[in-house]
Amino acid sequence: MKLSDSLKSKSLWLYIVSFSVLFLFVFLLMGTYLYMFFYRTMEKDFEQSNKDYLFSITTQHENNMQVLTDIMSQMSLAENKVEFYLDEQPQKSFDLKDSLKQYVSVSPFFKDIYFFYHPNTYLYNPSTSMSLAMFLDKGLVLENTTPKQLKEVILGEEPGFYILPEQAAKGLLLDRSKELFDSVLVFILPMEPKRNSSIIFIVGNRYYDELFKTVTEDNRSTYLFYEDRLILKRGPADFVPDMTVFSKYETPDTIIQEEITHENKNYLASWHEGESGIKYCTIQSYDLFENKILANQGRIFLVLALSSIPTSIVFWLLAKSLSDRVKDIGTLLGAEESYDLEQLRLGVRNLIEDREESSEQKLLYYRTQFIRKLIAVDYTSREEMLRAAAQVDLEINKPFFLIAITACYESKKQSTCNELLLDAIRSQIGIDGYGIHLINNNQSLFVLFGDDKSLLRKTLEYLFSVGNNYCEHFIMSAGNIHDNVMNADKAYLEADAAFNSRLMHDNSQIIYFNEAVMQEPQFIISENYLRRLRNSIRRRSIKENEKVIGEICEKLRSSGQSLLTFRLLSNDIIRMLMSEWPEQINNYNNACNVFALTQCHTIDDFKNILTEVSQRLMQTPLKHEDKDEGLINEAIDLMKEHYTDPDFTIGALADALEISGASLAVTFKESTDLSPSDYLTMLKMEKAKELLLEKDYLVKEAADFVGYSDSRVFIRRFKAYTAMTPGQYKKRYKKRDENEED
Amino acid sequence: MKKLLSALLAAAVLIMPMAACNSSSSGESENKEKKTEQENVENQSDDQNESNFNEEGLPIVDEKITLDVMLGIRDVDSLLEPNDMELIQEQEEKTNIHVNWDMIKGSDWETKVNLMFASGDYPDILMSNNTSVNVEEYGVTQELLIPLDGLTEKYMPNYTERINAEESDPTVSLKASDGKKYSVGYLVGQNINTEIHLFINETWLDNLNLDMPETIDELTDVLRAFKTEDPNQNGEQDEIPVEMLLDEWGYGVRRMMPMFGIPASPSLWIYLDDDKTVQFTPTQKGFRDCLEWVHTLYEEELVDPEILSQDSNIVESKLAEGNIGFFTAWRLLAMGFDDGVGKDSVLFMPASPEGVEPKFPRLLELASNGAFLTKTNEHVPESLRWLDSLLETETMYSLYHGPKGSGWEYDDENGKINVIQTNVTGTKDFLDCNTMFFAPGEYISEVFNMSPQRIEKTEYGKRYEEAGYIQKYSNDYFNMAPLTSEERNDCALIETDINSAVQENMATFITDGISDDDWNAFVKMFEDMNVEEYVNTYQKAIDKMDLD
Repeated sequence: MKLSDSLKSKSLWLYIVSFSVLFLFVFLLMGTYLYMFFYRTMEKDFEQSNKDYLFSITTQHENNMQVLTDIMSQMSLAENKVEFYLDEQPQKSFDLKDSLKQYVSVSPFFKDIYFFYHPNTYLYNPSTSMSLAMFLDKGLVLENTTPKQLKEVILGEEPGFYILPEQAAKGLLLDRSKELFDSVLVFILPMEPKRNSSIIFIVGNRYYDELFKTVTEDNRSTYLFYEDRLILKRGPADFVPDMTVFSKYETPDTIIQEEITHENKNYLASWHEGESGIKYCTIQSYDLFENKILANQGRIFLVLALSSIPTSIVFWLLAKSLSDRVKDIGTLLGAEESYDLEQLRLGVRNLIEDREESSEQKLLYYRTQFIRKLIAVDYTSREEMLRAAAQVDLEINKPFFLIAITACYESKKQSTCNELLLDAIRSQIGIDGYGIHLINNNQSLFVLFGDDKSLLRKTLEYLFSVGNNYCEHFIMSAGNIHDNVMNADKAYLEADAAFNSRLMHDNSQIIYFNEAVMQEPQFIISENYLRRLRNSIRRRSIKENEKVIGEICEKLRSSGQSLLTFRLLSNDIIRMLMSEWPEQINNYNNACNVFALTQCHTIDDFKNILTEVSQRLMQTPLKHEDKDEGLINEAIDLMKEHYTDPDFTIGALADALEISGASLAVTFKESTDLSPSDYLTMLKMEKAKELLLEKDYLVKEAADFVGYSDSRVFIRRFKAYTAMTPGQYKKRYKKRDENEED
Repeated sequence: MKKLLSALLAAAVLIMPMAACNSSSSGESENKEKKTEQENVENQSDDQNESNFNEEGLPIVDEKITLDVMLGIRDVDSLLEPNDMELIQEQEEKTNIHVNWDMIKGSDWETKVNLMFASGDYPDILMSNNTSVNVEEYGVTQELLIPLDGLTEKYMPNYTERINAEESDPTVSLKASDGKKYSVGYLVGQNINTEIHLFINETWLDNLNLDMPETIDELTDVLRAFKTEDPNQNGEQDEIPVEMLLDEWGYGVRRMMPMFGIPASPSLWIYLDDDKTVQFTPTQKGFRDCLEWVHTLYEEELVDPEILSQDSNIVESKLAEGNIGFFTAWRLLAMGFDDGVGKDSVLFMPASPEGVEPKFPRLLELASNGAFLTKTNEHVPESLRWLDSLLETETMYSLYHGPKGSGWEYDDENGKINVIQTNVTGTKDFLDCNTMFFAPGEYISEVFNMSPQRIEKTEYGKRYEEAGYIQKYSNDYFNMAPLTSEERNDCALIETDINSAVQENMATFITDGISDDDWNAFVKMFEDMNVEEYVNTYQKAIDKMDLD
């Protein structure tokens, strides 16, 4: 198993190696073919070069043979000049010698020429006469020919050449010649037509040495045959090729080539017969050809080797880079260092899946972006918004939408709660939407798109139940259902306002904007309640205390106040308590923490805390009022008195109190948790509300009354305070008022 | 130190000419004329070599110098590179002169010399003992060779001594047309006075009981007897009474002419008679008589039938065979005739027609041009002293024949040099006959044991001389005659014409004889050829030479 495992893990290398092997195979195949081609070409070259050589020497030699024949013809034309008896016509000897001299001097082929008129006693060469007897005896002494044989040959009357094979020669006639011969070839030609005379040509070995000169490397030997006898040989070979090959072929004009073997060596023999009857043969050892092949082979292989080195380096580099990358990928994928492609595949698939996931998450992110943009009314048109929605996979081409805000106050459960809600949205048919988490407010914002209103509402109910089931303290508020997506910001504000008023309402329900906020009658904290609370504590009347607190809560609950007013109330209460019982309130060791009031989420909480605080306080002895408390009271009193005065600013207030604006702000804030200007604004707004609804003031009139010279500023402030303009406020609550009885 | 040395040398230089003047010989008179020239040359070398050159003794120079020598050798010579020869190396050590040799074969010599002179890049010395240099052209006309008159007397004691030992100056032949000698002479003296002698088969005479013929007629009779009376006693009439050919160097008709009083020159058809008169050979009576005699021989078949067609090679091979009654030759010994005519023949004291004194052409043993110095030679005294060092007897013989012990040795009896090595094959480690060799007659007979064949010929020469048969004034003077180059050219042209005419007619005369008409026509022919002018030209030149 280990082997197969390790093989598996090296699968990349297996691929590379098998590819290389295949490539090599193809390469070798091609190489073999090329080599065969090359071999054949070289062989042809070899044969051709031999043919050329043979042809060239044959031509040259035959030319010279022709010269001899020509000389003979010329002399035969002057027959009477050359055929004479010395004692009868001695003068002719001069002419004969002269013409012989001419022939010799002109020809580079033969070195000496003798003329012999058979009946004569004397033969002649260019410089002298000589009796035949002396000639045969001393004149030309041949190694392999006896004088008798020579005489026979000279006196021969057969037509055509007689050629004595190459042999060493000496003698009077040769000794005096300037050229030193080692050996000669003797050509005897009877003079046509009578053949009464013979011309003897002496050709020295030097001519043939020159003609058949080759370099040693060529390993070439050349032979001349005449009438079945070898007459001349040059070259290193130590044998004579068999002439009978000639008889096999019919056309002597062409060059015949055949392969012959001698002592296990191969030679290429080329044959040609000349017109003179001489047969020329040259042999060349195949060694040369083979050496050439080898040498060239060597060269080819060298070239191949040289070229294969960079090729293989390139190959290796490529393979390496490939395997490195595979390894890198493997490492990146976390697989062990291996070249297992299967692993890679898996890893890549994982990657893709992750990517899908992450792209999913990206999608979620983009959706979040979308929602934000939607709320900020960043899209200039519905079409654009739809396009953007499509990009983030939201099916929101629906006519209606709403915005809901939720909060789950168990921090650990928040994200899961959101998940659940999102799942719930997804599970609803006909509804699509998305939620984002608003971190600073610890809320989540959902936007729902639906085909019809009732479906939306139903979904909302469903979501609320999901959230409520999961979280202990789950709050959901919703804005109105809109049809124009350009009003998304409004929808958000509605939801937000509704959420902000959660304390005033029954948190166990969805807080609808139109229900919650618009239902807001004035509820300025009556001094009455505070007094009664204080007194109850002072008197240590639990019953009274409970009653007051119950009434306050009931009022809160039923009148749907905003968070602001709740805070105000809390602050008033706290202020009051602090002014009465400063030590107790400020003693942090005291578990009775009044400030927890500001942290309440629900009315029940509020009730409980207040009850507790009251009871604690009831247990403690009474204390003096704080000095500060007096100041703050005075400030509040003053504000209550002069808030309708447009010129009544906080600065004026500070002056009136004979303190700096800063210390006023600080002290006030410390005591009441509100800034003086906020408190002043609150007073103004609450009054304006009352005027608009109960006294049916016009907006301008109300603004004027509460001290805003510029009604636009008033409208702005009002909208910020109540989440709607005075006009809208009026319209809405007037109707309500008409429908409901206070 | 240097100043002192140069002062000494200067003094020596001044004294030298006087010393040279004192050693007088016939060739010395020109010395004073040459003084300025000599001084010029010396001044040239003085400036460069004063402290280096030693006028006497060895080494020749204190600091080694190099000389470039162009050496001509025969085609048949196969020699080592000279600087590889022990003898040359020894010479270098002795003289302290290194030589760069440029060895050139005779057949290439002329071309190479011409090229060399044309190129402007001359060697220091041309050693041309067996080859020739156109002295007229390069010495006289172009002045590329240095005239050596006076210098050889000063720097070549060996050479000068030998010249002085002779009765007549053997270097007179070295004079160019301007009267100056441009070379150091080459002379292998043999102490001979004529080239070709006559020989007769004594055995046959004895066999036939005949006396030595003393007249031409007697000779002819003897020849007839040789033919018919079977002197070789083999029962066959196979004897060749006279062996000769038409006109090749040693065996032609010209060699018979001395019997008829004509000292025919082998190369020219003129000769110098005893009155210093230039004679035209073909029109002489002796010429006619000779050819008529040969015709008789031919007709009577007393002469080799191949007389008109054979060459000297054939003749010599026949002489080597023997069976010949009468012939001409250089000598008998060392000719390959030992088994042939050599064993039967003796010198024949020439027979002649009535009233005619036989006259053989005199051979002057004269030096031929040996070594030349070119004008770019910067070491003239050193070169001459070096050449002279090669002429030291032992050195000279070693370089010619081979080192002592293998080439030559001293004879036990007379202390003269004997040449041991006569036939060398293979590559020689000595320069052979191409080396400097100056051995005129007197000197050589003192120093050297002449080989038997030399002695033989010296004998013959003496006998002919004593009988008064040797021409008084040698034909060789023609070669030395002071002709202008124009004259020479003209003469050469005429000589060619004369030669062809004579050759043609000689053959006919031999085969057909000479009628008076024939002869007159023959003579007349030459008148048309401007022969008279030709003869006169030479005559004037001879007269100029003022022979004694």
